[in-house]
Amino acid sequence: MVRLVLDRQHVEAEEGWTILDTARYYGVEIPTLCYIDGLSPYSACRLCVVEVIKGDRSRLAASCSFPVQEGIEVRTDSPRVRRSRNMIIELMLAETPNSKTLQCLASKYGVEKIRFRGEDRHCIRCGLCVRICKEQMGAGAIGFAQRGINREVVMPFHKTPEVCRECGACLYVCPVCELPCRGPLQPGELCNACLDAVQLVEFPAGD
Amino acid sequence: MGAPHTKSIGDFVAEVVQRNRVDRSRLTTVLHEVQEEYNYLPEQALRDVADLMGIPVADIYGVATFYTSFSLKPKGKHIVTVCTGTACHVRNSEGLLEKICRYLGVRPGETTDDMLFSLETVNCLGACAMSPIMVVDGTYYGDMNASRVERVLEKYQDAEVVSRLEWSFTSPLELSEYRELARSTRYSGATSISVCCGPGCLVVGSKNVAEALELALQRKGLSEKVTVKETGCHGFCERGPVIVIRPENVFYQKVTPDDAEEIVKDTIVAGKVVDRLLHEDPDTGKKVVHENEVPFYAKQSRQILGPNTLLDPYDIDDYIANGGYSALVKALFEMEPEQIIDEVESAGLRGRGGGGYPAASKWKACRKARTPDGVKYVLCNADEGDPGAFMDRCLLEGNPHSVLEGMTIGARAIGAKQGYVYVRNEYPLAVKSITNAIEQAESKGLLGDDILGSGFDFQVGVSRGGGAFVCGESTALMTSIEGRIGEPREKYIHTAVKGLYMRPTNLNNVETWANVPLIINVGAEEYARVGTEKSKGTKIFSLVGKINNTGLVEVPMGITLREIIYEIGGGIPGGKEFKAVQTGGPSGGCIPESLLDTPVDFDRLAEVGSMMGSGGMIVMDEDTCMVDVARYFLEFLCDESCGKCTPCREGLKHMLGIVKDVTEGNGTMEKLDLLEELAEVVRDTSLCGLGQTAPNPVLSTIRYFKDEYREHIEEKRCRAGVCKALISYEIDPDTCTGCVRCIKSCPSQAINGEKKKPHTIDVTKCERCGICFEICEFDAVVRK
Repeated sequence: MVRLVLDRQHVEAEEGWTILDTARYYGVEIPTLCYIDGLSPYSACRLCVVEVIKGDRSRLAASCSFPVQEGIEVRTDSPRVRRSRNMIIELMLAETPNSKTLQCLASKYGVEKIRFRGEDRHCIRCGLCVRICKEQMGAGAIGFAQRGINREVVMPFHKTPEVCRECGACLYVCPVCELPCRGPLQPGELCNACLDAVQLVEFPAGD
Repeated sequence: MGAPHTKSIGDFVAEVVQRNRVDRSRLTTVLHEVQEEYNYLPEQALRDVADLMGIPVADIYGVATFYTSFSLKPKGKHIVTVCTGTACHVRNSEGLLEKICRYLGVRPGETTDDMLFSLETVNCLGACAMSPIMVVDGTYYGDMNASRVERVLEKYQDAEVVSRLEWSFTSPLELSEYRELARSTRYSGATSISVCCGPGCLVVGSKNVAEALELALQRKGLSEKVTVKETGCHGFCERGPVIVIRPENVFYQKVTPDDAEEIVKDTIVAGKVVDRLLHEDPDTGKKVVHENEVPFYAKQSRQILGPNTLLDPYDIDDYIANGGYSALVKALFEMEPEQIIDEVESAGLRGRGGGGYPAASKWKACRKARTPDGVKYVLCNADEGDPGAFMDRCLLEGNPHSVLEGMTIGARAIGAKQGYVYVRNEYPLAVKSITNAIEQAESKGLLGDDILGSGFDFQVGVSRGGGAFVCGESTALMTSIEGRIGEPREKYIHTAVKGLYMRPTNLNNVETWANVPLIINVGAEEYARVGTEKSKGTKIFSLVGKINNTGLVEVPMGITLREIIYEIGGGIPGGKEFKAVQTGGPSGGCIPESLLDTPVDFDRLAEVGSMMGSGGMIVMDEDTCMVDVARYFLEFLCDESCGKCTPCREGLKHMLGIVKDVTEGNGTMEKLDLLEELAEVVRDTSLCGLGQTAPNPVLSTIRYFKDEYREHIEEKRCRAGVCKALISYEIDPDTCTGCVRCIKSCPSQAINGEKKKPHTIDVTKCERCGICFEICEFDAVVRK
């Protein structure tokens, strides 16, 4: 067993567990996006970053792939984590305002404003579709092409390959395929529908 | 390229795949070979490669579109490449590119309709001393300016390589006997002429100088007695082509083929020096005869680079005669693996690739790491991607065996039997040189099975990159060798434990490996005499940009930046004022005048917000705009980010947006705060070293040059006159002589006028490229 400190609690984890595994086992919530059970961790979206303190050194690490180590201290909700997490949500929403998953994360973690000029790219390039197609469906029909800001998920040569069985698994895992509660939004807009609902409940108090 | 095809695509691809043993680690090589045949990657060929190698088409498509070296569209007969590296950028490569675009009528990445020219840009060719650089079909045109474009777009040629092999050693004794033999034929006072054929000198025609010298010797009947050696880079690129005549060490600079007859007649035959080819000490005005007296060299400590001037890189005998492979003998027969590691540890060798991680710690971890099948790897990182840095290129091209010897010693220490050298595709001569060196070393029994009869086996392969800066990052480099998209992965488990193919892997850069034979030869104690407490030995820098003596310099650690720039580099040309020196490439920062007394030392450079980096040192003067520099690096990084993780891909994009706004006069001070906040998050959360260090150029320019940002934002003024949106050009009618030179050079036909009458600039057409400003000999073009 590996002993570590998780949000000020002394806990034990199995050898080989990641920080995310450990947190989930103890009921500590860490938001994730490009990680789902059953697919290999990809550490790309960086939403699951946590602060890992080892001796007098502290760093941010992707909890989905960081294997627990004896004696480390993990903070899942420190100011440094919150600042980074919110910025990541803001960055992703600037390019995909029409993802319900992301809009809900924004409401939940208190992202109040999108300060960046965005354009709706309908994709956060989390690679879930690419991995499920390859790892679970055994097809490998889609993949990443280009690089940097032009990186995109495509079918090779933009033609449907023979190996694609149109099984729909890629759509199933995609976190940006469902519209936010307030319907189609423009880049820069926040949904925050659920936050308004909270205010409605409080409304009668003054009457 | 472009030869008539006698086979079908299918047959050709099958042959290439077979030749590469259906090995995925050779996928990029396969794709390079296919592209060399067809000059692009036909869809059918990619599908065939996928079939034959059993790789999903989607993967192959990903790889083919990830690396900029590959093209899925047919290319023109001639490839025109413009270097947009940092050194070229500060010497207005953007204006040059604009001119070529207009001339050819295409944008970068496009091909002319007649399929004659394809225009491309590259992020650094490592020929920074001659910036700005244009390349046509492999021929370099240095110090290019827009008015030369038309004339140049016509000629091209290529260089050749020869290798000779015949003897294989099975014991150290045979090697040492051979060494004596090689020495007696080479170093017994016989005369030789070393002609520098490094990237800088090649550009100014050193190959022709070498040929002219051969010819002149032949005419005098001296070709048997005097050898002409085409060596790697000597370092003094500014004065190229340079030659050294041995054994007297007579140093000549700016030699042309026309000088060959005179050199042979006077110096070789009569023993007199040719006065006009000598170097003049700029301080005393005295002529200098010998290489070691040249002030540029005198302050240096050239223990790694020095042999470059002695060796023919394509001749292993030269290396052996000069004491080469004696460190390997020592490491194989007199030392245990642990002893080798101890020696490297007490020498204090730190990684020269930039991070400065202690080499011995990596070696130790890799030696200790368990592996299921006994396989471990030793890699050499020759993906020198930092624009403005070309020392690794020059070591590989000039002294490849020192790198191979270092790797073999490292492999023995770690217990690895397989190695790879990962070379940037932009360095074809380095690929040629190291490939040739491997063949020669194998044929002589210095590499391969049972090296020198010691029972130790070590093979080395060459892996060609594909034009991706991120592949200099260790995990990306490894996935690239595996034939995948070069994207990094988390290093929570070190590559020393799980690296290439999930096996323990040790990666060091070219210069680090080249230091290893020296440490073994002279011993740790002697080696560690040079340097500071925590940074030992020497470091090679490429000193480029706005500096008098551009070139490669090797200095002891601990020397100050001021000494390098003013005493070795000779200061700033044209009496201009120094503004900053950029080290560490896109991961480093800009260091201002007030910190020039910072010593060259891994930790001290990091303290001032920059880093050692692989050794690019770009000097900037008052004509360089620091906001523009930040924009330049962000554009570079946006282009080179692999795009895997959110902060790097999206964060850099928005950082660039904010900085661009500033250069265009649309910035606000609030956005500047947002820029800093975003930069911190990108640094904190990015997956790999590229993203984690990417904010450095921005943060360091904000830290030291905030005034310039403020001027751009509040006064809409660019004091260096670089940011196009904030400047305008006019022609002073009193000074203009009406020479029409500017009219001819203007890419956007914005200048009107007649001969001998003052010209005018049409501001509606002017794109503010600054070409007229640069070429006007009468200073009649005024920038406001």
